Amino acid sequence: MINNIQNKAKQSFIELGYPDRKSEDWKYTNTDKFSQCIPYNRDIPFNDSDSFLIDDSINIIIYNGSVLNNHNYKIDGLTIIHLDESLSKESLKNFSKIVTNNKNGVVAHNTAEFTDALHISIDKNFDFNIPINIIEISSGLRDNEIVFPRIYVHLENSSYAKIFIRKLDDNSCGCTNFLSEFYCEDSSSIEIVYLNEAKNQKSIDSLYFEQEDNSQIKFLSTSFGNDLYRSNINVDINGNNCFNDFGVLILGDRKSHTDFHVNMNHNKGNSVSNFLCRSMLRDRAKGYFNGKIFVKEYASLTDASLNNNNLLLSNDSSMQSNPQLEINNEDVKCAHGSTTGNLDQDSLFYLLSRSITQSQAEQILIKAFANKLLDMHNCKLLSIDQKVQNWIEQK
Amino acid sequence: MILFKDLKVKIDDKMIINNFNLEVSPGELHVIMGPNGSGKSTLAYTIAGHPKYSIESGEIIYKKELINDMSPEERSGNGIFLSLQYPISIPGVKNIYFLKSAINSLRKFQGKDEIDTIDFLKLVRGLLPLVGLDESFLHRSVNDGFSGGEKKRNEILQMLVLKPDLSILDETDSGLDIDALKIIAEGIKNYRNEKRSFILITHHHRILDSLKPDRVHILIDGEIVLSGGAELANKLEKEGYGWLRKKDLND
Ligand SMILES: Nc1ncnc2c1ncn2[C@@H]1O[C@H](COP(=O)(O)OP(=O)(O)O)[C@@H](O)[C@H]1O
Ligand SMILES: [Mg+2]
Repeated sequence: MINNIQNKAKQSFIELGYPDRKSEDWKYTNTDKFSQCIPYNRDIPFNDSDSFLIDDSINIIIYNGSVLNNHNYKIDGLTIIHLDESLSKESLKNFSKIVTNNKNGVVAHNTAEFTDALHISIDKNFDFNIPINIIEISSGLRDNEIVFPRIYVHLENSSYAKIFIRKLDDNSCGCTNFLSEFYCEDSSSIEIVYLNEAKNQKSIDSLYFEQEDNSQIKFLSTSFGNDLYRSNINVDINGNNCFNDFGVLILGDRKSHTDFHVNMNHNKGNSVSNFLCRSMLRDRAKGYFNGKIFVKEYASLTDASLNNNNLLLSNDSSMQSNPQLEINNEDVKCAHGSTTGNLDQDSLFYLLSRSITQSQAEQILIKAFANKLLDMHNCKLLSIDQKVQNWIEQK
Repeated sequence: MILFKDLKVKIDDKMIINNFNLEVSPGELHVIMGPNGSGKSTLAYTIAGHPKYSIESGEIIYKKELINDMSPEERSGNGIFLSLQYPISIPGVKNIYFLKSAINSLRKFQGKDEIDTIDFLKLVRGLLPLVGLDESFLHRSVNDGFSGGEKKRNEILQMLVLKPDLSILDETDSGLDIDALKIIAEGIKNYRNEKRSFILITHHHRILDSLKPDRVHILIDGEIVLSGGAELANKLEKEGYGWLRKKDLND
């Protein structure tokens, strides 16, 4: 069965390939490197796993695309399996629920080549309060190697989970084609905090979310000046009365390249979506934001917002921003907006006039800009607040 | 304390302050009144060193030193404080953090160690009742969602924390109800002593009743057209500025 899926994906990857810059959605990000890489299939042992573990949480390490905990386990309310031949038909059906028929070369490549996948499901009615901490680490990769980590998270009816994903590169380069899917059944609720610290890598993320009636998603992504980072976030609201709150914080420095693409699809009505992307760019960092709220004709009473605010901290940094709406229903509330600029001079003066030095005043205002997102999400476990502060202080 | 000699100030190429001359001695409280747009806030910002306001000519001498080119943070370090007519909101910065950064920066400037956290909290808690704010305001973002009156109280709180020698209070009494006005006036009054000076910009005589100003000056088109005692404020509030238009005075 899994072979079937992979063979099909191989076929479609051959047909589709990676999108090139002629395609409107990919005009800023060059994927050549991804096509040229060879899938990693060496076996480098990983010894340093303990240093990434967090107390009082369930820790799972995905190392160069393989799930390290080499046993499947189940504790009350939670099932974690990794996908190999032993996979039952039932979970496979879940596994391929979201992206199987996706006409997307990036997804096809992951599906064709992944060697392992993490499959997490939360039983119905279960408030799973222990954080699930996923460390996705690439180590020892050669410049021309690519890995295919893959995660599928399934929340059954009325369940709750909190998931942390931390992506690291252990100073190695190479490429990552990361795919993760989040399926939220009726009245389920999930919080996800994603931290991308793989600065030396080129990575493309494909994050797919699907919401059924009354489900809720809170999501925060933070990235720190990656060599090349493209993230595709696709949310399908397929139920009524759903709620979601997505935050993306981009900290770009050196010659980093960060490109976010978002599709917020309101396929049913009465749901609320909030998407806020904030970037702060210094040195020669480049940022791109393309987002679209798409409201289907029968999705009445949709309440959606899509905003992008950017802080340019150097003359050589740049941002391209393009939030869009496509609305096919009259009875909706949709807002979108974009701002790009420098630090507010009057705020700066206010701090200076209180004895605060220029450099500290700037740091305070930059942090305040990020706080808008950090304050909305509980991300203590990954010390994101401190990491952002360190980044601002250039530590 | 501070001396202005033939000061001319421009914003973008527009002259706003013309030939402004004034001396404020230690311990004195001077009042500046004048119609909207006459340049009162421009003067206040210029003293505090806002980069938008450029000194075309003339001198500002503070504590015997020419400060025309001094940075705002250095002016503050040397004891100049401006209470803004429209205090700025800074979402994402907690008021308590703002106050602590300010006091520690000031102490650093003065060559002192950072204040102990407990001492700092004691200090601020002791000052809150003097401006009529409760502790919850410390944990909100600076001025974010504060009412007009709360913002003004927060300005005075900052003044009391930073203990400036020269305070410029730009319409700190505007938009306050009578009770709030009393509290603020009382706060300023208690802070006054023979070493500290004030330049108080206002439209109302009420705050002056308890503050007993040394001089009242009337600013029109960026120039002092008349100076006098406290009684001038009463007259102005009753009769407006019409009788004072420069042209008439010259006649
Ligand atoms: N930041 C600014 N940019 C441009 N013009 C300004 C600015 N601030 C003040 N002005 C102009 O300067 C003049 C004086 O303003 P202001 O000092 O605020 O007066 P007042 O405080 O006496 O009401 C007005 O004509 C005003 O429009
Ligand atoms: Mg004014």
